[in-house]
Amino acid sequence: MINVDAFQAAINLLSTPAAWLVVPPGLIIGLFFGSIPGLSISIAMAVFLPATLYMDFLPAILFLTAIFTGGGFGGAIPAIMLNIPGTSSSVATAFDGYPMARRGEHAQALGIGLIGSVLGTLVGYVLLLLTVQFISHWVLRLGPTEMLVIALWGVTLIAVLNDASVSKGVSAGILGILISTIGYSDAGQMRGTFGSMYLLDGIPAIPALIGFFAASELFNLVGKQYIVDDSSLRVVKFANILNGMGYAFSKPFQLLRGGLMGAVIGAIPGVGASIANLAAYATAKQRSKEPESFGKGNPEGLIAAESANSSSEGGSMITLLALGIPGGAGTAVLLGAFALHNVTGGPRFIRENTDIVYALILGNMAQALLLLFIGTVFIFLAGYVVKLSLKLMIPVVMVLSVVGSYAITGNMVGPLTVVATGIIGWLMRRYGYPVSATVVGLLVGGMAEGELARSMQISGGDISFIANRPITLVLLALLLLSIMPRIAKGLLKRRRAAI
Amino acid sequence: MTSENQLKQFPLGNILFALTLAATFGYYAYGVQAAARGITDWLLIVPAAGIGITALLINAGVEVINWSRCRYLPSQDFANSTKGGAPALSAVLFMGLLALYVALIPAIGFDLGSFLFICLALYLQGERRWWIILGFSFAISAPVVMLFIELLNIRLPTLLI
Repeated sequence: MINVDAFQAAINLLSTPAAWLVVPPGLIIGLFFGSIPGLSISIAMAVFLPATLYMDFLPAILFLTAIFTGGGFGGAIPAIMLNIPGTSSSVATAFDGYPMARRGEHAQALGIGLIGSVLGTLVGYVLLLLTVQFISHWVLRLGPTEMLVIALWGVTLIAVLNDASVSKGVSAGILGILISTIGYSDAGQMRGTFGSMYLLDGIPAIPALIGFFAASELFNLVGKQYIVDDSSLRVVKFANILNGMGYAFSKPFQLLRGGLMGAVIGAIPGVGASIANLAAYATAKQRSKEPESFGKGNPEGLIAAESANSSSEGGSMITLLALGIPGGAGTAVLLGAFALHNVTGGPRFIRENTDIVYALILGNMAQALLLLFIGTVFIFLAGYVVKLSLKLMIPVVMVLSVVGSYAITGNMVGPLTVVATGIIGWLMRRYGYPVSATVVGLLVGGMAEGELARSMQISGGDISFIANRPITLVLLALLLLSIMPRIAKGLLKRRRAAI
Repeated sequence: MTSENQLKQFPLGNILFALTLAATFGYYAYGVQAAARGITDWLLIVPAAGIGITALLINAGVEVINWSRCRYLPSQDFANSTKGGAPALSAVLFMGLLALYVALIPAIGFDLGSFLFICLALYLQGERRWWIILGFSFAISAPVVMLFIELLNIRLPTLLI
């Protein structure tokens, strides 16, 4: 399972100080970029990619993965404090983190998120260490039908498992899917662009995410004085952060479950942390004895989301190292760094450079432990957000979101998307539609369409084709099993109401 | 009905929202299908829009049924149900301000646009001390724009900086 000689060589490689000097700055950069709405981990990694040109391969990749690790948790900070997921992988973090912050439990929520992130990262990389060679063969078996079911699973779970009615969840999810299809299709058809060249690339996902989550919530907060209404709860105590950390440690099973789910889902190319955190959240909600408390500030939801999105980093490294395929935007930049240093990922890379692969894995595990210390100081400072007056904070966050969205798209489509999706999101919240389902639909819609078209072409339109795809059948069965209890519960409730 | 009960407001906004979305789904799906060159062009969109329209019509129907079942609310519940008026007006005004800010950026740039937006947003939220409005707006808009232009090397349209 583990090549001992290569393992020892990896430890020798990591014993050079140069490999470590770049890690703390990388973590701080990641935390900073992840915590500012509108900036993202991939922006941070792309901005600092040229800085790795004069580094050796190992420090260069450790620097970039430190940004990746720091940013993975950094995105949780605005998600918890402001209901603004700094990254698409922090969407589920906001579901329970923000209600906790509004109850005055922001410090605990940040502590829980940090431990979830640190342990999730560790779980992901331990799993990578143990399975890198085996998984590189397994991932190749996932074809378009499997990927399609995974994408639909992501939307269905969030559409069905929320407080709104199933029909509202479904319509919100479909709104997201349809928005994601605007622009040029894979087959070259122009859709819903109204002749505007700015829409040829479609609706940008991150500005739309900022609009649906942040702008719509900020509209709701206009007129309020503080995020936390009760002044006695607007305190930042280090003890509360430690309490949150202690609580997370007391839930090892939830941490492990989220971590394992994140690593496995993260290993699937194109899926990554965006789906991992949602799937882990939905599973935690289903397995909980108090599912109705999810979305209202249940710390277990936060543990599931953060451990899964962090462990998916290890998972996405599997496909990068084993297949040379980036699992998402962050690993795409890492692939760029590989190319910059004339390194090509793939089974041959693992076989010939096992020591470097192990050094990367061990280095990232050490980064996770460093994040524990650097992240604790960072969240202590971030906790002071609750003391800021909303009157001042709302315009500032709005300006940051608008400028950040322009930075992402490079034109006015970003800011216009923030405004349009903010207004739609506000109306959706007002009329009881879950905006989270729309955002998930938006994130996986493009993938679902591509995989559906490929499935159609491979099968020749014959639906019995999936009978020969056992993994698809298992995934379909799991999808149905996961939504059945909610649908049955809804039907029973309606029948009782009618009686 | 007892005299303490009040007539519950018809959920017009909710129904209009559902019907508008349903019409948009239909219009979009029809446009895609009409321009399609093959089945893969509409394979996801048309069925998804169909399911979405059905779900939205169910939502609208459920709203009407729920309203007709309990058209009258006890006075206390009625008071609670009509509370959101003032915050909704503030939110709508803020949305208008944000839309104006974004619409004017190409003409007045991010520097002046952000400055004016923060000034007006503070005023809208009840701040009347002019030195706070001007000082805070300048202290935020200038560094944010400079951060993106100088540090992150992003070319933002500006008027003064």
